[in-house]
Amino acid sequence: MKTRKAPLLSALLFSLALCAALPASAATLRLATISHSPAKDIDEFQPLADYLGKNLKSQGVDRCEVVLTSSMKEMAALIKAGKADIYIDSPFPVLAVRSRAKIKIMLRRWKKGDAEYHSVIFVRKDSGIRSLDQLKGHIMAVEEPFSTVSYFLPKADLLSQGFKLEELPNAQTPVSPNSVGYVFSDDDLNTLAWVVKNQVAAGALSNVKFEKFSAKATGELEVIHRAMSVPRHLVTYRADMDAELVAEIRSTLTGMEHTPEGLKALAAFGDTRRFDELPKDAEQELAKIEKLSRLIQVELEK
Amino acid sequence: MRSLRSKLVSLILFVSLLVGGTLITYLLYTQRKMILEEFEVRGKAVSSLLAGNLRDPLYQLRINDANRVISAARLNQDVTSIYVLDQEGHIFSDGSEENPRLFEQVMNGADTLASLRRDPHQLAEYTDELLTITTPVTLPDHKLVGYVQVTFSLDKVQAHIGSVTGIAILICILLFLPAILLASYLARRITRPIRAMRDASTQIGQGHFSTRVSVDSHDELGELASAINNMVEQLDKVTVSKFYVNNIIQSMADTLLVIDQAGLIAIANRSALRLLGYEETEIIGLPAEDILGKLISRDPQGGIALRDSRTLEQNTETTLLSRTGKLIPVSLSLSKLVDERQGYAKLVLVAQDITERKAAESKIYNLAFYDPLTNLPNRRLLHDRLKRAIAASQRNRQFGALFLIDLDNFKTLNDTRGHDMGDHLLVEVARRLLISVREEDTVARLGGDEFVVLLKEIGPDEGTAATQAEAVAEKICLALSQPYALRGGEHTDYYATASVGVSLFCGQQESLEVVMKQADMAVYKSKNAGRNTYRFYTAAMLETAEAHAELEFNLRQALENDEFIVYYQPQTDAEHNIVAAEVLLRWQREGQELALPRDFIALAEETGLIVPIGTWVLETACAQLNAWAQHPHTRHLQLAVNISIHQFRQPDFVEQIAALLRTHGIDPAQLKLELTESLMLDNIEDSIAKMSAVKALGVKFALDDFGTGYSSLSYLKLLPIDQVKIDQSFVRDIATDTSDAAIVKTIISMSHLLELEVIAEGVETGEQFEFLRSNGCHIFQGHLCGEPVLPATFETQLKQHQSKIFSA
Repeated sequence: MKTRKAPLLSALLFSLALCAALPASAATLRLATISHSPAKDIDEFQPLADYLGKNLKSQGVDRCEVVLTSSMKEMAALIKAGKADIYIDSPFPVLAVRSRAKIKIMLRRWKKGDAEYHSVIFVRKDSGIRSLDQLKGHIMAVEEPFSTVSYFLPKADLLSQGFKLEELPNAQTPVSPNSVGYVFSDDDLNTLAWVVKNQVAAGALSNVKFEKFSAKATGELEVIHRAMSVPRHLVTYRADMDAELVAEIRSTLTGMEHTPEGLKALAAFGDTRRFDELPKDAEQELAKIEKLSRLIQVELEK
Repeated sequence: MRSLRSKLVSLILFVSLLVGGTLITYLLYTQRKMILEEFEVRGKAVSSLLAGNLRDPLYQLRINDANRVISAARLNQDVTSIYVLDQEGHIFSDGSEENPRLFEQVMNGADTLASLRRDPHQLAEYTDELLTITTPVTLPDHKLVGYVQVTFSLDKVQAHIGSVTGIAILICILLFLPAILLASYLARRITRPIRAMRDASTQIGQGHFSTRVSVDSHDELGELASAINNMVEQLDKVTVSKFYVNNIIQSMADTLLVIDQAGLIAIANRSALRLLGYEETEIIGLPAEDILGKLISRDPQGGIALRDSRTLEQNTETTLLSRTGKLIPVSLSLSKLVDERQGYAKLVLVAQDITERKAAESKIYNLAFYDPLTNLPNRRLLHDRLKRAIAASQRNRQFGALFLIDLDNFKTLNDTRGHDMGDHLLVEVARRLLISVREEDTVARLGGDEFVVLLKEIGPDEGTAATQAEAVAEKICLALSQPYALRGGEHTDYYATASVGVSLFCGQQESLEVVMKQADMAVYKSKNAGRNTYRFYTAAMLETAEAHAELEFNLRQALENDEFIVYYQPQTDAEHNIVAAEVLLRWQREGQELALPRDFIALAEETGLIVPIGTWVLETACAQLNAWAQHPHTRHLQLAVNISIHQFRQPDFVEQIAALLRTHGIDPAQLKLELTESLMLDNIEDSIAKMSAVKALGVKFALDDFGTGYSSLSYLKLLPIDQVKIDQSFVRDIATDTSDAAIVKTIISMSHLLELEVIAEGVETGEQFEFLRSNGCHIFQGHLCGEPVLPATFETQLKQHQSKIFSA
């Protein structure tokens, strides 16, 4: 854990400094997300912020700035304080923040071209493990504590099926035969490498990433479980925002894919294909996720 | 040819380039090696640093940490790729988030991996553009956990090396320029004396033995110059220069050619060029046979040889071919010039132009053997050919034939129309004879108007040969009797005929002289047969000819022996008075019958004796007139003397007559010269001129034999004649032939009109006399009036006649 705290702390300090530097005003729209890689995320979010700032002048928006926090709790606090107007993140953090602050889901983001994704749990073909039950007594590598598909979903899924999970400090730590141990690899690549190199018995990744790895990398691996699909990313807004402004923001975002400037901003924003409305049954799906999220409530409250 | 100086400069520059190039190449090689080594060291240092930082990520299998470690290094511009590899050589990290080649095998070669595992060390591998350094990543306990493979681009290194190379080349060029100058300077220092010696040697080689080499240096070149100077001094003393020899050759009057071993003209002097008509550039290199013709032959190897080796030993008269193909007669001397060093012989040809000599010889030969007028073989050549033909006929038993051709009346042509016309006729006759016979036959001119045709092999027996010869004789007669155009052009102005005598021979014992004589006799026969015909020799002819020859001999003796005498035949008037006499010639030989003119006049004319005989007759007549002038009863008499054409055409005929008149002091009017019509008309201008001149002396002229010839009245008017003599052939039948009577009447009438006296000869009967007298004839001559008698008899008869008259 020591290795995780240092970047988190630095990101937090960064976001606080950023907030102090940009005092809120009526003419400023704040675009927020939770980040462990501030520089990378600012690079990703700033094109969208600039686009919105430029296209919302009619609503009295002078500029749009990026606000980063290092945790869901922090994000909920910012929203409550009116210091974050638009929050964009994957479903589990969004639902966790919504449980603490009044935000509403506005649109679905097709991050990296995908509207939704799901978790896969994979093992080496020669591991002898063919089902989740056989994971007991073995260790599974997950990415990081706030990853939706590489941690929350598989863990929630396993918990919902009655598995006992046990977080381990490293892969060398023994696990009880009735539990499924898990370790944070800090990176999906590490997860993959640990499984391939037999450091752990299983790994959890998003189906999108798993399929993007070359056959060379995944040829000896086998997926033994797939969790439910969830929206790839969600756009939310502070619930007390001006409805007219919200409508304009919605319109602006959904219209991006129709203008060259919008498409350019979409490409720069994490290779987003488009923003669109959530499907009709999306709320039911989100309810399922919320139910699962309760299983990991403790962690979500961090 | 490249000069020594340029060779020296080239050599120095080549050596400079070789040394400089080698040095530069070595320096560049070491520089490159150093740069690469330095680069490799730096690369290995980077790689080692990365390896140290990658121990944990590799050990913990943390790809993201490995990415983070190498991401900074990837920013280095020299680095093209960094791969973190696991123990098996699979890509563990490439520094990218996607890591697309994850677990791909990049370290090939089990041996390399095994080697690195056994002995972990840094491995540097080069390609043209890349340097790849593989560094094992080991834990402190030396456990191998993977590798880091860093690939560096060598572009900058290569660029660096390139710039170093460029600088090196620039330095090399900068050093090369002074090297050129230095080399040029040194080469000039060395070659200047050599050039001086070369120029001097060239001069010496051209025969300028006063040339000396001027080299001041005291080294080997100086010694060489001294040696050359010594050598040329010696040469000057002992050598005849090529220039000198060449001058001699060029100034030679004789043609000189030198032919090389390949049979090509190598040297030709000016006389040769002049003689053969070549330019020097044309003749040099010309094949010798183009000039020497068949004098030489060419062997298969291309060399030449003399067809007759004796040509080398003696002067030869031959011909050379000129540029225009003309054959030039030369006296040729050939010799071999053997070059022992080269092992071959050249041929030296010296020739003298003998064209003029040959022409003179040819002229002499022609003069000796050919008739200059007609270009026909002359008598000498004919004799030679006839001898050969007779000998040949004896061998092959084939008959031959000799034709002797004598032109009729040629002398008259010469006398009357001049020798030029005569020559023209002879040339044309020669031409016609040549085209009348075969090419192999001989046509010759003996002289004058005598031609000979010699036919060979015309038949194995006399009959066949005679038939062949007869055909040729007819052909000749026909050809020669065609009209001639002696004045040139197409207008013919003369008719000629020939008498031809043919003698057949067939190798009998006949000599050349006999054959010729036989042909001559046949000609004579032909002449006697009326001319314009031919006769074959027969044995009877020999007798006639011998008689003829004897007659000629005697005739020549007759004048000397005073054997000629004259008879006078009286000419009377209508009253029978003797008014004149015709002088008639008789030949009284001892022991022989009296010969009448018809027996010898033709021969006299033929032999030319007619002129002295005629003169003698005139002399005699004039002497007679002088004698008669002394007596009253004969003082009135005229004497009529026949004048032959040969006599009349004598250039001094008029002078002769005048001299006679002076000598004998007679009355010219008592002398009457009888000329035939044909004589006078033969050359009418000459006749008129001479007759007028003689007439001016007072001498009378009678036209003899009038009526037998052309009888042109217009000419009668022109000619200064006094009397017309009617030929006896008209008189003979005057009483019985009305035609003759009419002619006589006409002649008399015409004469009256022209105021000419008329005399009739051959009056034998009273009837004839009466007819003539009654028609106006003035004078009469014939048996009725008196026979020809000796002068003494004539005078006696005259006295008797006169006494009769007087008594009557």
